[in-house]
Amino acid sequence: MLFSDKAVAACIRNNYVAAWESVRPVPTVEIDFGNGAKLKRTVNGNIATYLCAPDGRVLDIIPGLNEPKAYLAALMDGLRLSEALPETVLAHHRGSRAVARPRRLDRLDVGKAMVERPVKHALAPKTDAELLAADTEVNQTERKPLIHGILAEKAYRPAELTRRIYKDVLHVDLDNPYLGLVSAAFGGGAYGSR
Amino acid sequence: MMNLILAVLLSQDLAKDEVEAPIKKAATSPEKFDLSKSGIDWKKGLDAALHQGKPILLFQLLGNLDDVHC
Repeated sequence: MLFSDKAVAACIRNNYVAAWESVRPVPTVEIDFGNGAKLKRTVNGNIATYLCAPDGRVLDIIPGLNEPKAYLAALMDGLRLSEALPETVLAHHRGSRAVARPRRLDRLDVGKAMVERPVKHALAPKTDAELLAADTEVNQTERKPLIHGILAEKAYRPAELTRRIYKDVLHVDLDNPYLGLVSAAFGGGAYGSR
Repeated sequence: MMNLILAVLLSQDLAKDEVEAPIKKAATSPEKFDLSKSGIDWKKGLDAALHQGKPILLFQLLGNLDDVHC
């Protein structure tokens, strides 16, 4: 887990007041093996780390899961922003918003990606480290520019941003009772259209 | 050669593997994470962290902080 990383944990302990909050219950899957043994796990969760001034004003947001090195760098950036004036923080996000990278073209062909992904995975299965590295890249190249755009608007409190960040940045609609899982769970799969 | 590889892969029920892989992986992990191992004093909710003279890190998630796969 991220907070097991010694450098990340030390940075948080020494420099931040740490708090957590649950935005809604996460879906869970329970597998009954029929012999009394059961396995319960969560699915479709996601996270956002808000870095705030002591008065609760949002300085920056770290989206999703990240490699410890990238997360630590973002924590250090947050410390620098915490020492800046509110106008400087806004100017930082306005300037950073301008360097957003275009969306990768290979992510646009969703249908093709869905068919090919299992084959690619079987040919070259990714390790957890590789998956985390891929997530980190997406967070930095696609999600972070969106966050800069939002934080460039004005000074926000976390509660004002929660639904917007989850929906527009993390693509999890908190108001959807099935968190977007309904088509996969109830669509009937390969037999759904028959 | 590619046709042979694809034929072998397709015979292995890739869609089923795709669904089951996260569940198989999860079976090897503990259900809960011991928060005390990080040495971080986690407060519950933003209000508990306000006005303490230091910047705040608010970790926002679906589920609970000690759920391993939240």
